[in-house]
Amino acid sequence: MPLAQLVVSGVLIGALYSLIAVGLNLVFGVLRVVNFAHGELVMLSMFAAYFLHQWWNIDPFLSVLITAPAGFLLGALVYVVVLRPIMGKGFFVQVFATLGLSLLLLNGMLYLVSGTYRTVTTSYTDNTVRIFGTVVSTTRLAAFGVAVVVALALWAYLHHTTWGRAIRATAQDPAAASTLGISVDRIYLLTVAVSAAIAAVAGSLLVPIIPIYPGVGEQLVLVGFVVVVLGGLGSFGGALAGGLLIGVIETVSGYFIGEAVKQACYFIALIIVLLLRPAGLFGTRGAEEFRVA
Amino acid sequence: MRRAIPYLAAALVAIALPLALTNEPYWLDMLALLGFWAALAGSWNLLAGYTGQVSLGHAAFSGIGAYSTALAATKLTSNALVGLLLGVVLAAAIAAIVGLLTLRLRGPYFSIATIAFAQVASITALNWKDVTGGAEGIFLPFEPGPANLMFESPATYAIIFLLCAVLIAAATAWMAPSRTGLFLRAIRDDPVAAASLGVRVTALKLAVFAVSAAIAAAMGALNAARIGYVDPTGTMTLQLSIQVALIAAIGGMGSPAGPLIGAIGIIPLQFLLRAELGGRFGALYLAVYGLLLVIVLRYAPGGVVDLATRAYRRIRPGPTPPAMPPPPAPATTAPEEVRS
Repeated sequence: MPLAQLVVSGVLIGALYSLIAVGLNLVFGVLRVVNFAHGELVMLSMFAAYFLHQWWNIDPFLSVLITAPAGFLLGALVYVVVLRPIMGKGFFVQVFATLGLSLLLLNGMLYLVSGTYRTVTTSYTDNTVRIFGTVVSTTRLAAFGVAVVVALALWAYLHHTTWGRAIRATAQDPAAASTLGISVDRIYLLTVAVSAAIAAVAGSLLVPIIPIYPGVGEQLVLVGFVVVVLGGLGSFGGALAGGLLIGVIETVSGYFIGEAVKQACYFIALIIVLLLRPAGLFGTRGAEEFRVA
Repeated sequence: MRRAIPYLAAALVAIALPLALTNEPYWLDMLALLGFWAALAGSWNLLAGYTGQVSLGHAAFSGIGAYSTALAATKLTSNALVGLLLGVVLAAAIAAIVGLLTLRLRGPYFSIATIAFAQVASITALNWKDVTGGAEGIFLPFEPGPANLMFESPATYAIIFLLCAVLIAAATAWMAPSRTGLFLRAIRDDPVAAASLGVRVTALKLAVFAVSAAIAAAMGALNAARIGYVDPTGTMTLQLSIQVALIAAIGGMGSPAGPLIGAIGIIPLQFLLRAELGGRFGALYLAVYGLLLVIVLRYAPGGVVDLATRAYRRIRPGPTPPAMPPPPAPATTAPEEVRS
């Protein structure tokens, strides 16, 4: 398997990591909350897509149309029930509340559906196309395409709509935003909902690619953290670039060093980034360390 | 001296309780686990509750202790105590190195860095098969004797763990009002101000991190001897690290008795759920934990101890300062944009 092949498949899977990381970053940038339950939102969407496929034979790509709005509503619910009461309560409380939610969702699912791995096989699972002289699975290519479209749509939403601008304004300065008539609470609600909807899209797209099990969210959120730190907390472009990079690191190290240690590779990459440039590649400096002379 | 009274009483209870239940191995196991988790959460609380560095990789240190003991008992000598000491030294050294690299990071960055470190440790334990036995783990030969940390009676373990938990709570209570404790809280609440007043921020944080890791390793070692088996999933998962932190968070971070109270509230619950629900308990008790955590933090962000303290103050407002300072406000940082 030549390097080009690895890089291409890394980029394709990386786009899905980017989507997960963009959602994490959006919530962090606006609410200043690290959502440890973000991976579980992806996991729930994967199960939703899986069951839609099992029961009604709905294609995972089509299920996006169902899981994304459902994710949006779930995100809104998560904000109202879990996050709203703890806004401004300090970092500890926020970490533990989202960790608690993550435990609840993960283990609730484990109880309901057990921990077995499930996979979805579609009629086109084994199809491949050739691009740049490499062989690529059609499913992965399509997932990549959808991920890119969703990321672009989100970017356009944040930059060219009133609500999107209000989200960015709130991220920059909540106090100033609220003096201009923006309801910060409503923006927070919208942000978490949008972030969960994107997580749901990523979940649906991952269904034909990786096995589905309750613990999958933990794996994905860890990758998401790595991407986010690499790209810079709060940076949109950083999350996109970081995701592709981690995807490539994963496939290349998995091939050359071994599947078992590929995870260790990107954690080590994360630690190195934290040491050299804790703000990440694109993050704004100053938020990440204690400036103590 | 008056401060010591509740802890002396707790220590007596810790010794008397297991002896009163001698013939019920099931409850003795529960007490041993309760002590284990309270002690582990207590060690975590030293770092997170008093310096404000929320580690989510603490299981790595108890795992290091567990593996050192298992290796000492099977490969080096048959002496588990050597393994415990080795694990304590190793964990403190690793914490010092990890701390040097990561303690300058703020809130979420530090937490994520500790997760990454613990994941690397756990992947190492799983894949370095020659030493750790990989996923199969290591069985410790059962040879009773204090030098092997192996005892015939489950009551002995219950007493040891409960005493450890009480001891750590007492040590924390003794430290909190001292000069060092004051420095630590200053670091937690405002590191920049503390540094400008001459507090050696980095050195103190490093010392606390090393001590916290050493205690965790000792607990891991004792528990490995108690169970007689060590494997990666039982000693080094993210779930375990999270459980350590959430016990302290539910009980009350930054209060000496918080972790103990958290464990008293949570570990029996775990046992009850296990008894009630049989096979699928593993998932459900954690789901209940999660729910509890969300509820407790919604209504009592400072945990149970803080809630009790405030209720007590309402009944008897005294001139004394509150036992537990409010959790620090998030560090205000320069606003960042969500840039494209």
